[in-house]
Amino acid sequence: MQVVIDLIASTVIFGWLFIMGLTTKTANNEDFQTNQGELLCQENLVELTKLLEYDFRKIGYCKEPDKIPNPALAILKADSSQIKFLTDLDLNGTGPDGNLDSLYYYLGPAGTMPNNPNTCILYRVVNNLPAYGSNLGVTSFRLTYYDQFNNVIATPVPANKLQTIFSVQISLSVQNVVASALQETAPINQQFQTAFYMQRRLAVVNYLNR
Amino acid sequence: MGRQALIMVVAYSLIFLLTGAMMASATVDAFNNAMNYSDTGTVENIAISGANLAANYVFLNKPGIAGNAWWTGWSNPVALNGGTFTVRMDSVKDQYGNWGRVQMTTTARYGDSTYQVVVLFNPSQFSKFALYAGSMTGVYFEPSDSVFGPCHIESTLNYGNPAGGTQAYGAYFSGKVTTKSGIAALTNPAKLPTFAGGLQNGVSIPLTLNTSQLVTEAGANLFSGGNLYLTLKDDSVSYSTTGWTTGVTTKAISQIAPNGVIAIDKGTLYVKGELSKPLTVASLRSSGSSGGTVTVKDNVTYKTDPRTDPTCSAMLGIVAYSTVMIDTTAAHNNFTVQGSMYSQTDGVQVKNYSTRPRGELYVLGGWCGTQIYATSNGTTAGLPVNVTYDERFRVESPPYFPGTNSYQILSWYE
Repeated sequence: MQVVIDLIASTVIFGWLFIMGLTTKTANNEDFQTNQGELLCQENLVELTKLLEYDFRKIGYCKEPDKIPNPALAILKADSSQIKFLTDLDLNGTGPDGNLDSLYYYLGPAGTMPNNPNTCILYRVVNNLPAYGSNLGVTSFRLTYYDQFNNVIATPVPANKLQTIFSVQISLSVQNVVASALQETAPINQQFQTAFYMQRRLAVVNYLNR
Repeated sequence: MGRQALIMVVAYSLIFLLTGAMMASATVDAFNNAMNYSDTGTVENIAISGANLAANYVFLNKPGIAGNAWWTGWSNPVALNGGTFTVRMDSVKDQYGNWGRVQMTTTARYGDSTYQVVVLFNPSQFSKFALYAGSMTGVYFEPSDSVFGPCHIESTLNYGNPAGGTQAYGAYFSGKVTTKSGIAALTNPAKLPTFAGGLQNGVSIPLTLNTSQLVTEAGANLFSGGNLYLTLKDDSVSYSTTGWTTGVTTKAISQIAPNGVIAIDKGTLYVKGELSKPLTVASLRSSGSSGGTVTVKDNVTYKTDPRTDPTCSAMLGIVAYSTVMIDTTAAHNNFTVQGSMYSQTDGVQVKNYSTRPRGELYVLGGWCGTQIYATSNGTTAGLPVNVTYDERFRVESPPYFPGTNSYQILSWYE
């Protein structure tokens, strides 16, 4: 009889410990995915901001400045989520080649990515070549333009006001491209880690230097 | 039983440790990523700050121009915000292979990160202005005025409306405008001009004519006293000291002006014709109280239009110690002057502007002078001016055109 009681008790205790272990594992997995999602989100944001800052600082730049006598004409189009400008890009990894290139950033439509309907593709088009971009989880890409008196310029900026742009504010938010919650079937349970970035007044140094 | 319990405790501890390590690795990676971005931003900021400090030094001390000593930069690391930066100055050639430009390289270090900012400077000339006025005493920009290109007023920029004017907009400035003493309305009401390229007050750029340099560059062909009649003929010039048709000699520009400067000292220079080479014609006054005027006797044009011909190398500077006079006695009413005009002590004037038949004065280039004069009577006589800026003058200038004795930034690479 004592043996039976011991067996029952040990089974109960083992089951309890087993369930506790499983629960712990499940919770750990979810936390781990959440952390990984946040890490991925943050890494995507950092890479995007580095690229944007790198490119935007070169608006109107040319290694051979005689090829762009008036850099104030370098911004060709400016809107709240798109911008096109002239610059001198490092196309082959050896630095700027002294030839002017056009660079066009614009945000694609939302809802086209299967795992996170909030995300869009931020396109980077060089020299009017076919647009390409990768899904880094961009959910918003907003550009605000300021004149030299720090007044906001209404968008889309008309062609005759492009020269008044003195600085640009970039706002960017990124979400994890896949949900990290385990119950992904119901949208309400989906968790998308979000990171937000705002560059206040990125002065366009080459734009109005002459 | 005690041993099993111990094993269980150890096993669970191992599981939790492994889980903890996995969790921590993601957190550590995130932290490293944030730190990496912070380091990148910090080293960039150090480099940009260093470049700004060095650029300020260049603007204040103007190394290598106007007799100032050269500056090699800051070769010893300068501590800033936990990192260091160094600055190196190099003389570099322009697109024609001439020395004169300056490249400033700022290298910043912060931890393991390195970042460079490269700034290219060019000595700045007055030809970079579409309009330069030393003074606007009694005159103002009215709503129908527009300036397309950089503009500087070495006093107060006046604006206003003609009597009874009800214009909805003020004058229009498409390029950057700098003034020494701000802006002021001379009429009431007056519409504020539009400064599409920005407005910066408190900037003083006094006219400075380096007579001795132009004398030197003119060399043995410097004319002295009397008159010099100059007809531009593509890559050569016909000149005479007695008139347009007498005693005329024709020479290639490369022969009479190997440095690109033809000058007369203490005399009057008359000029007309068509040009296909870079050239500066100057009427100087090295001493005394007479001479130093230029009279544009007829159209002065480039052989091809630089606005449509990118290969056009023609570039004309018209430099006068005193007045640049547009003499309108030619048998046509519309005048064209292609080049940058500079008057050290006076300005550009139109002869008989209030009585001559009405026409138009087309200028492709720039207009620099101490004074601004009326060129028409506003209704029936004279030559209203249409100045179009030659965009090449933002980075280039006619040979030895008067300089501002300061540098301008051509490019800023981060």
